[in-house]
Amino acid sequence: MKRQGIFLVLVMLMLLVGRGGFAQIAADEALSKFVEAGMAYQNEDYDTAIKKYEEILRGGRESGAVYYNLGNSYFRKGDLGRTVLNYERAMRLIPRDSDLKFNDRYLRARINAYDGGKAQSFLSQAIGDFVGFYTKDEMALIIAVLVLILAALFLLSLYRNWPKMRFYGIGTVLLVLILAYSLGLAMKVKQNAGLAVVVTATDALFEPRADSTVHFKLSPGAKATILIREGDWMKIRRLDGKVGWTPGKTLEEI
Amino acid sequence: MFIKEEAMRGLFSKIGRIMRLSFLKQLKIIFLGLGILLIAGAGRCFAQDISVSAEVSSRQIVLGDSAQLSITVSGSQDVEPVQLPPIDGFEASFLGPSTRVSIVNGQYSSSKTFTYSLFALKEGTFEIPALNVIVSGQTYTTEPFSVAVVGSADRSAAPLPGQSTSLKDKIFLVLEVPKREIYLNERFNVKISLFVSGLSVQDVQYPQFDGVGFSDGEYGQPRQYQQIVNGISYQVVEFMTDIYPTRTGALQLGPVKTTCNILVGRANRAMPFGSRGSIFDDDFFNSFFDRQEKQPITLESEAVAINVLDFPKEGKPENFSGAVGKFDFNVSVGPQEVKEGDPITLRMTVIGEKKQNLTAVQMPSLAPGTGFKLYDPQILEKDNIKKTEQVIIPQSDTVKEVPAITFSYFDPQLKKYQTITQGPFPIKVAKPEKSDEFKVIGLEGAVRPPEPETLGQDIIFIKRAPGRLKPLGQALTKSFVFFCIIFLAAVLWVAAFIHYKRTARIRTDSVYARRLQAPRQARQGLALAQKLMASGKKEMFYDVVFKTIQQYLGNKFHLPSGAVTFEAVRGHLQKNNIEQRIVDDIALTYSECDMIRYASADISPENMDVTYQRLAHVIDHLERFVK
Repeated sequence: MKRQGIFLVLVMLMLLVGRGGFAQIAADEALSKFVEAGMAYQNEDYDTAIKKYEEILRGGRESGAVYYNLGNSYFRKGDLGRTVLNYERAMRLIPRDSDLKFNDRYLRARINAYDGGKAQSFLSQAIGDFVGFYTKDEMALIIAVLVLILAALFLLSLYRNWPKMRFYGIGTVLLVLILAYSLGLAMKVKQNAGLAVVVTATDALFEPRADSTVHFKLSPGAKATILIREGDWMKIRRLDGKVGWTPGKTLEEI
Repeated sequence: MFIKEEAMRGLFSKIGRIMRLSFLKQLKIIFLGLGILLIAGAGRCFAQDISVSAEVSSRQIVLGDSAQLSITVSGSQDVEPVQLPPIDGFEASFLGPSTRVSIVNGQYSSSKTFTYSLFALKEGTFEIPALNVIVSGQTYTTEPFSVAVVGSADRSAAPLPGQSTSLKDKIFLVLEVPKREIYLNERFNVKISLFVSGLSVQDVQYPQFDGVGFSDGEYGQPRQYQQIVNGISYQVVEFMTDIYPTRTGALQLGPVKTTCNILVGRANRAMPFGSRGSIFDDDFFNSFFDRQEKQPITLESEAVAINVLDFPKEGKPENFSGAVGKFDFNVSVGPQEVKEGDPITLRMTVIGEKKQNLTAVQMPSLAPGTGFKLYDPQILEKDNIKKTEQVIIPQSDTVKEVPAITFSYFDPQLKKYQTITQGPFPIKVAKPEKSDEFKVIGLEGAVRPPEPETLGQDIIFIKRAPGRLKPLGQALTKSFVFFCIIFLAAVLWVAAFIHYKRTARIRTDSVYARRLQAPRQARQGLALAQKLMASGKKEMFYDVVFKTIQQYLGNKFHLPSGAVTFEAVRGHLQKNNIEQRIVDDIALTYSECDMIRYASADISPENMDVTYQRLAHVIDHLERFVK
């Protein structure tokens, strides 16, 4: 019986490892491209910089700094849509980076994108800050660690014969934390699902036809959620809830 | 029944008219009358007749002393308090009512007495008039009687010729004014003296002015001294104050009023006034032991006619604002070199002679339209100095001076107007520098806010460090190791939990613990038996076999070790539906063991092996089928 169990685990392990069949460039090569791109950026050769950074990404490697620098390069080129896109991607890896936050804020003021038109309440702002503070991985890790601690504490309380109230006290605190982080993670996943940035200015139409009536405008840098893809068309929902059809490639998923 | 008011009044007046007798005799008649009335009403025990009487504690009172006047109403409690009319020669004050109720031989009687203090004000014989008392809505009247007031308790001391015979001569208030013609707003000194002779006085209040047209100031500490007037020694309390008229014309100053308490009683007679020290001393012990009474008295001085003059029309300066007296006037301006829009402080001081009326002094001011922006001045007044501080701001660099300021007052001694002029004060006003244009005024010395910096608007430079260049799309949530660890942790946790549950059950559930123990112990027994069989120790072998099966069955069916007989076991075996074959085997094993252990029959090694195999089989079978 035990042997069977171990075998099962091994099979699972093999399956999971086998998934990552991806052509990757070596970390050294990526690093040299990163340095080259940085030099190009300093020499105001933004095209080269963009090319090098994109090569790193195409080579299957990423980091917050790569996205951030790429965003900067696009900004210098005046491509605000792609700047926002790359900043958003960087935000998923290095959400607490002060440079990134500063540039993102500056950019948002520049593009003056439509953000739903509602002033956020204190609570929703606090929740937003909480969710935005961590990356998805960090949240998952925190939840896992908290659950482990809770489970370990439960066992400890059994073996050590703790008074029930003590375990309930600590357990409640941990449970609340676990719940908070789980909800945060769920929100993050839901928010990010299908979120895209407009890279080229376009109109959202009522129907997926070129001669359809224009519903609303999409300016570069604006965010929208991709609902469905149908051939060359995408059904998107703007942050304020308006839904329309737009030709593909005008939006890029984060 | 009640006697009618007319009848009552008739009875008293008749008695009074016919016999103008002493008060005692009158009282006797009153009592006689009462007796008659009582007899008349004897038929009804509880009916009471109403009688009203007035009496005084002493018919002879020393001037400045007091006697008690009692108005007694017997027969009814329904009495309205009596308002005494003004009585010549006395000042009366109400001390309070008292009620007396008595039942003698079943006879109920009650009386109510109103007590007044009569304070003698002057010498002579005075009549206490008939007093009206309203009882149960009906008016009753007391008899009038007379009381004598004598000058001194000491009859042997002959009064000096021309000596006062009134209290007003023993204590009085005098108002003194230095002059009768005064200019409007001119401050002048007023002296109020309280003269006291042969009386003990306490709680003297500060005098108060009656009449309008004067503003009174505060009193200083009163002065006390002795003074002899017309051969009589007086204790004098002198109050000084400054007052000034607030309107013109023939005005009356005063009368001045004050109140004080005169100590009345034995001490008054026993102790001469002069030995009593300050009249402001609250002589607690004296008043306590001597049972002195305080008689409040209001004193009033004569009024003084004063002619208040208006300021002369001729030579009246334009800016004269009513300042009267002698003044000095100073002006200072600073700083003298400023930039346009910077503040200049203008300070003015008016110094009066001592006791000058400064409230009427209006400070001169800078006229508007002289090129300055004027702010409200701050005015300070202390003793005989009045000061103003005013912020003025030159509005252009063409302003060259602060214009002259004049202050005018009227000198009542010279009967002339006086004018003091200060200035003009030259100042230099410079054009403001560009950076100085917006300045906060009035914040000299305060911390200036930092200059607002203009921040450039741009993005922050790229990062030099790439961070961890991880494979694209790699995430913890997609990581195998992460889930492996979680899975392992979960497995470990479940194992630990099961282990805990098991140990807890072994600890608490002895049936379970023994059943769990049964196969292990059986295995040990079998191993030992096999060893003994190999070494050919028959008795010990069967001993072990017996012990093993007994222990095993005892553990399995939770029986106490002494009670494990085949009979006891059989029931349990049948309950578990064990095959008859096995039951027979157990029975055989039991009997075999018994036989060997007690009869020591000859047993071959083959037999031992059969026994061993049978035991092993039984245990194996029971392990499988008995849960």
